[in-house]
Amino acid sequence: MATRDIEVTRWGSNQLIDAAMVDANVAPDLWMFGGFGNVAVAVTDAGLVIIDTSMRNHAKQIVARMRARTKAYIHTIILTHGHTDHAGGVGIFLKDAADRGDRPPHVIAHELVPVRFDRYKMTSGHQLHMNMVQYGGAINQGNKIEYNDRPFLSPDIAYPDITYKDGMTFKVGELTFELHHSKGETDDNTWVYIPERKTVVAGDALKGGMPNIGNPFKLMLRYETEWAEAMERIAGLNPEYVIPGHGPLLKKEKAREICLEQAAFLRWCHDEVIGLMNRGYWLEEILGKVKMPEKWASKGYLAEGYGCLNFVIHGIYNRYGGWYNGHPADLLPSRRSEIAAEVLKLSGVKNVIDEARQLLSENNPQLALHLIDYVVDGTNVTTMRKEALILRSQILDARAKTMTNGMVKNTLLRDAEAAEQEAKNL
Amino acid sequence: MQKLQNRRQKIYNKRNPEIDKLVIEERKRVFEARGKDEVLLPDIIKIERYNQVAGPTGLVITDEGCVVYDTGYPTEGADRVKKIRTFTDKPFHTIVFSHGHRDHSGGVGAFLADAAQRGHPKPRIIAHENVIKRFDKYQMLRGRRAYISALQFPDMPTTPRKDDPELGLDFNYPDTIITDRLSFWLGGLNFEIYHALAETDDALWLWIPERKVAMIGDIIIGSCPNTGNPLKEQRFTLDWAEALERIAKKKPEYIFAGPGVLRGEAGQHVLLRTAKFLRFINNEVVRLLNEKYWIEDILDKITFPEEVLQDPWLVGTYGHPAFVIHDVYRRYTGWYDGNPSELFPLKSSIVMNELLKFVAPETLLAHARQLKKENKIQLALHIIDYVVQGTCNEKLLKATKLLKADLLEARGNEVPNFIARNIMRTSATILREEAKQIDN
Repeated sequence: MATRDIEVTRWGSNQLIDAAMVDANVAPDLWMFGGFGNVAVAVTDAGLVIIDTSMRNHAKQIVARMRARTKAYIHTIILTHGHTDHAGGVGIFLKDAADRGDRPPHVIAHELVPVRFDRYKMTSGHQLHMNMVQYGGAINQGNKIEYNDRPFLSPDIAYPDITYKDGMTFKVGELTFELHHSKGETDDNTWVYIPERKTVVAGDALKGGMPNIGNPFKLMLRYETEWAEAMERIAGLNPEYVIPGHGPLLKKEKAREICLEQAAFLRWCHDEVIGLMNRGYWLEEILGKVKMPEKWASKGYLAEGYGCLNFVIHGIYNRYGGWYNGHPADLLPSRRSEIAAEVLKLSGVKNVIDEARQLLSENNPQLALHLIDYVVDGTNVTTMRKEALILRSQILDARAKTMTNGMVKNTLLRDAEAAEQEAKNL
Repeated sequence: MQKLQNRRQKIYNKRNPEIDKLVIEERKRVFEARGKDEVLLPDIIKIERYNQVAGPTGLVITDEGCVVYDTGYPTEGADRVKKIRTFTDKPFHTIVFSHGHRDHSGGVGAFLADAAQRGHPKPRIIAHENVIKRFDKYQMLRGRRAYISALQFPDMPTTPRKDDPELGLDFNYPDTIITDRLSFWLGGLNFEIYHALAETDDALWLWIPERKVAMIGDIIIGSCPNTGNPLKEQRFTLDWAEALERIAKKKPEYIFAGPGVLRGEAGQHVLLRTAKFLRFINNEVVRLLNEKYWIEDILDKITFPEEVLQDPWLVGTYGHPAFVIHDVYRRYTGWYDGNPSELFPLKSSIVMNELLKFVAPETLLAHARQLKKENKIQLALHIIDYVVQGTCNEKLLKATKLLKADLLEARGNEVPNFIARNIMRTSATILREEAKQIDN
């Protein structure tokens, strides 16, 4: 059996995730701890204000690093949104406070964070399934976790005790915390401005790489225009530093460039998709027509390793349109397997397998994949099926090699493995 | 999993034939009253639409002026005002939009014109804050809206056309905005207005406690709720159920809804059964998602109990249960369909062309004809698509397009759903037009 490196993530490998965990000092009283999601710690006379808690596994190391530098008690924890790589570690921070005998810190988040947590509980099995598909297993430790045995949300997750709707400002010690609600990757994002330190803690309102609108595995409703607005507002404050949700600390000029260019990119995508929708095009045609402008093609802040242009188009189209694809046959369709069987009756199974193999050798794995699907979906003849499954797994491996997007690569490789396994079991 | 299956049984346990009868009779009564104005209480009147498509106007007459709930299409506002003026000369004090859809908010211009003409103060227009975003969106998506309206409502005189001067113009934006709720007192009556997420994100329902009247717009539409419309954006299945339950808690005597006015106990059952149905679909989709199924399987696996199948308020004539499943699915997950071939797919025409290497288009055409004879229309449609999308053979193109048009027509007659049927028929008309352009 082929060995497949399914642990590819947006950073490419676990070593790179670890390398990304670089701590930085913004000011003597404002620190950034690097993790899969970053953590910001403000040290005030009245206690610590923690912004984000990273994912649960990283939170343990981060709390240890923090405690090596300060013994102050935690006054407040702000969760920038409900994704588990930002909120997942909250239980670890609360445990630290409890172990020290401190009074429980406040947990502040946007009012939609509890709604998200409720949804995660309701769809727990599905969330685990999606993470397995897109991240191919555990994203750290290199071990594949059997996801079925635990809930998606850790039982020590803390719901916020204070929520807000549009904005909220408060002082802790000598520092002011301005909380701004924004929509973008999620509907519940908070970015925080600390005026005394001219610093923005952005949550996922700002991160490197192409904005992840239209992720194939996640909620379709994401907010391209609102995201652009949030980044423009952040840039408008001219912050000296931006602590992003992921990746290294950003200084003034760099932060401004990323904000304004990503915002311009999102607005451009919006206008392209809306323009084509208004001219009566369906998704397939729009995907073919929108081309990345030259000026952005090689920019790191729009790299397509995680989000990608194709997904962004999907996301915007899905937000403003329905699920109809322009083919009336697909409104109340027959099953794929039924259609494939019917086609195979006319084309012959052997022909299609041979052609798919030929296409693979001609380095056209995507077309080969579409063809072999007919056989996999449409025939029950064991020998044919077995041959088709083995071939399909080879094609998927070849197709995965052509992919720069980590999520897609994982999905293809996982399916390659599944096809190989199924063939073996026949 | 066992727990979820139990919950499914709990939602539909014992069926009550008395209630079945009650809701069936209520539907008959409500639909017979369509097109007729009704004086329900001396100060509460239903003003009907002339075209029976848009929902009715709820009129409340008080000494201090009228409260108007919904105004119809832009083209019929004047007609409604004329009818109202046969009942009362009182000024329009407040106009409430049940939501921002044009068949409810579009007619308001005529009400404002009436006020101006009579020298009355300008009525206040109350709407949810998302109505403003909706009106902006309609103008942004003007071309798209014209296109999809022509697809799903081809025969309606009220369908906006691409050249329709009203489209994108003449939006009377509300001047009073609600985020969650608002109550006011007028002429001895309390008016309580509540926000709901339902067919749209901007629904407002009105409750008048002294009269036990609820005005709810399209929260009841007279068919399966229209979440998951194939041409429209995300809707709110579970929140819709919650809104219905909140309305039912008020125990209204009269419920002004899309198809007309429902009453008393029967109305109560319609509200709660619709809520139950939406919760059932939500729970089933969530259960199957948690069991790792994708959309194609989920559509196949959800079956409905007899109570639903027999309920005329839930028939798939406008909304459709399959569409609701789509809506719930997309509320909780992304667009991936479980097959990695479809993540970065080739155009379907390229794939279909490839298959034509092994099967002559003539054979496919003949096979589609054969399937049609066997009454396997849907399968025949999929097969004929290989020739329509895949072939470049000019000689066959005309016959192919005509056959596909016939198949769409036949399939349209087969499906219960008005929107799907219209899309199929409109597509058939377009194909016949295209076929006409080909000489051979």
